[in-house]
Amino acid sequence: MMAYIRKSLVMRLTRVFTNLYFRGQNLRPEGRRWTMAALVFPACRQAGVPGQPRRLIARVAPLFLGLFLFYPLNINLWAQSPLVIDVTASKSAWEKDILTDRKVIFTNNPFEIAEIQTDIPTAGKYQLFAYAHHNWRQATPRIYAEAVDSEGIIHKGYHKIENIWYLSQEDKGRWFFISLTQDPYWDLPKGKLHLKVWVVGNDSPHGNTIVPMEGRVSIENFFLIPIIDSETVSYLPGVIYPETGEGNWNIISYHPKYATNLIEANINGSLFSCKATIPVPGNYQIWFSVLSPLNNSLEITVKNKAKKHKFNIKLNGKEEFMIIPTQTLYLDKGTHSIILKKLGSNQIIIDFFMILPISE
Amino acid sequence: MDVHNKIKLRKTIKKIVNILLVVVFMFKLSKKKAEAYIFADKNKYDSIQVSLEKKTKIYLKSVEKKVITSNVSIIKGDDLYDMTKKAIGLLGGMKTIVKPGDKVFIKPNYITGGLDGHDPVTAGEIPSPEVIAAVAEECVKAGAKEVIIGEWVERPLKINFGGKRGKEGAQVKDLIDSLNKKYGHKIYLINLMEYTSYFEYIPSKTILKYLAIPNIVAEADVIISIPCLKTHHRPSPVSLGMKNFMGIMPSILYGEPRYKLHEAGVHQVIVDINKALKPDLIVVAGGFGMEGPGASLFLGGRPVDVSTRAGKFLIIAGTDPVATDATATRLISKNWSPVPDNLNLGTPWYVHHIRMASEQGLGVLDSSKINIIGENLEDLKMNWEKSDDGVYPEIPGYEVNEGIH
Repeated sequence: MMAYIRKSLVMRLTRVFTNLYFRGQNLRPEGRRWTMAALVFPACRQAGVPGQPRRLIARVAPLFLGLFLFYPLNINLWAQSPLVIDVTASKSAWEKDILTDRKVIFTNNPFEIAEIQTDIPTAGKYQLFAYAHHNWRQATPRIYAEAVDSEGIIHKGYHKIENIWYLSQEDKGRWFFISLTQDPYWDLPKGKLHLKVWVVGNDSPHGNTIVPMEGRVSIENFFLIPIIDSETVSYLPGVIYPETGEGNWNIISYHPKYATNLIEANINGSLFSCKATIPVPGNYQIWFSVLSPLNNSLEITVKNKAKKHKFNIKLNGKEEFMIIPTQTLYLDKGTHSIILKKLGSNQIIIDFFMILPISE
Repeated sequence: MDVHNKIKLRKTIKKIVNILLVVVFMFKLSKKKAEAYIFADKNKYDSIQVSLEKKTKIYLKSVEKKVITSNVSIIKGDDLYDMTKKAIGLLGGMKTIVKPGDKVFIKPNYITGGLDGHDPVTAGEIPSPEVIAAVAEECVKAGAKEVIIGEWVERPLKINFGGKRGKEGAQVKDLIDSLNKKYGHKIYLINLMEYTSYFEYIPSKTILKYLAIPNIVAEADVIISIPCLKTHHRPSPVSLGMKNFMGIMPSILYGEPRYKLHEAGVHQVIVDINKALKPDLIVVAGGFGMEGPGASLFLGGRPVDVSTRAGKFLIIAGTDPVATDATATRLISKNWSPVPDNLNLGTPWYVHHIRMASEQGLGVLDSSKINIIGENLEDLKMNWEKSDDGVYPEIPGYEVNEGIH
């Protein structure tokens, strides 16, 4: 009876310890079970030996301590998830509009501030990106960002987008993915983040002289992308442009209506494949920038040499671009093929996608 | 052994195990702290206040201690394709650089030359296609699994993978296509912006602390730089093998043209990138180059047909990026002044990123420690016009922002 009580006590303690220690970390369920088994088995053997509970705990404690010290070597420590910050929820003098079928906020007044409040669900390292549009041919728009986190710390950054001298006069400008983080990343605590953004015009990409704004600057989305830490190196997920892939979707190099490169399909069964590389094994989601005016379905296959994930995503028809995340997938390190299969005959357009780490 | 002693022994073993665990834990903690301290210490660069003389002495002492000699090959001729292969052969051949199964990344100095239809090769903006194709072929013959030739160019601009020489029309893409037909599809021409899945952070001594490089470059086993022979406007008097790697840095993070890196101190950024990448081979394409402000026709660079200045075309190659850049600089700066009192240092000493790279252990700048194989450097020296914006000389310690932070 006592032996049974001791065994169950050890198992409970082990379970509590494992869950507490690995909380918020990216460890597969199978990994957790193996960890528990590794901890429980020797502990149970010791629990079966009749003796005082204090001696038992004294025997088991070094085992826990050792695992606590040595196990982290193999754990990928990302607890945070990416965020898309809704610009249309901003409180500002910036106006709202629809530009190239995207809901945007825009300004053509220098130093006019857009203020956006968001919540950081988990503390961690993030890069702030913006998807911004302009049509300036001479001057250079400079977008500033300043964020105050829940601990009152101010984070700053800016980005100058080159004037697009190379487009023809009738073109509508260009969408740019830009980093607004001055440092390699912002270290953000959990809680509220108050973001301010404003724009000025500069005389050139190298110059800092303030000049009148040549036109509007519009922003569709802000993205807070988490940094992926491994034991020795950190990584930043990039933007993947699908037009480098192959298949029978149409690849459009600079669509004048949408002011960017993209792929599109409207034939049932059309296939398209592109490659992406994962730096560190773990849980990821693929986030697509998609325009689907009518209801649509996509069959997505993500595969490497060893594994294959296949699933469908349904898109509710909407006249504007949307950011659509897929389900969470466990992906190994290395190159993966991402195969898109169009289901149905309604048009679908994809601008870009990102493969982003997700905490459990 | 009786029970009492057994219990004592067990207790002793337990105590020792616990102490060992604590010691290991403390060691790991202290190692992390020490690394942070060492990194912070290296970041403190107070020698901006140190005189030029003292810096020179420090540099020369460090070179003497290491007793390194670097080989740089120079080939003169008419056929750039053959000359490139010969230049690599004089260094021991590509088999000493590329192992079977290696992934190779080749970075030519492509910029966005020729957008208005002019020939960027004869304008000296981009390296001759024959040089790039020769290097790619040698890599494939040495057993490379994959050879990626690329540059980061902001979309929708396209990299000019064409290029032609005079009326003959030697296009890089055509040459690469014929190599792929011969050896199987192993050579790829890409825009890094379109093929990057993630960025890897490398340490930087600048205020940026880290730099992000595209995964394709970070994952390569062998990295090769193929610059043109060019002078350049501020912030560098020359644009050669090491500076060429600025073209891999992502515009979505650093702007176009990478102004954030310039603001942080471009000289140290160039050194940091080369320190992380450790380029295995530099091949300077001396068919056509640029003098004056360099870089491009748009920015005022003036084309130079090297054969009209040196008698024939030139190829300069080396596995030491500092020695190769220093040799190429000496080749085109015959009458540049001032020069340091120590003639073994010469004009490269007054190019910040070359000097800083040598001081930080990336290679040899001292000409007495560089072994020139092939042609005689003194017979080939030319006097190209440097940029007229006063960029040369870059005197150590007098630059507002060398980048060390």
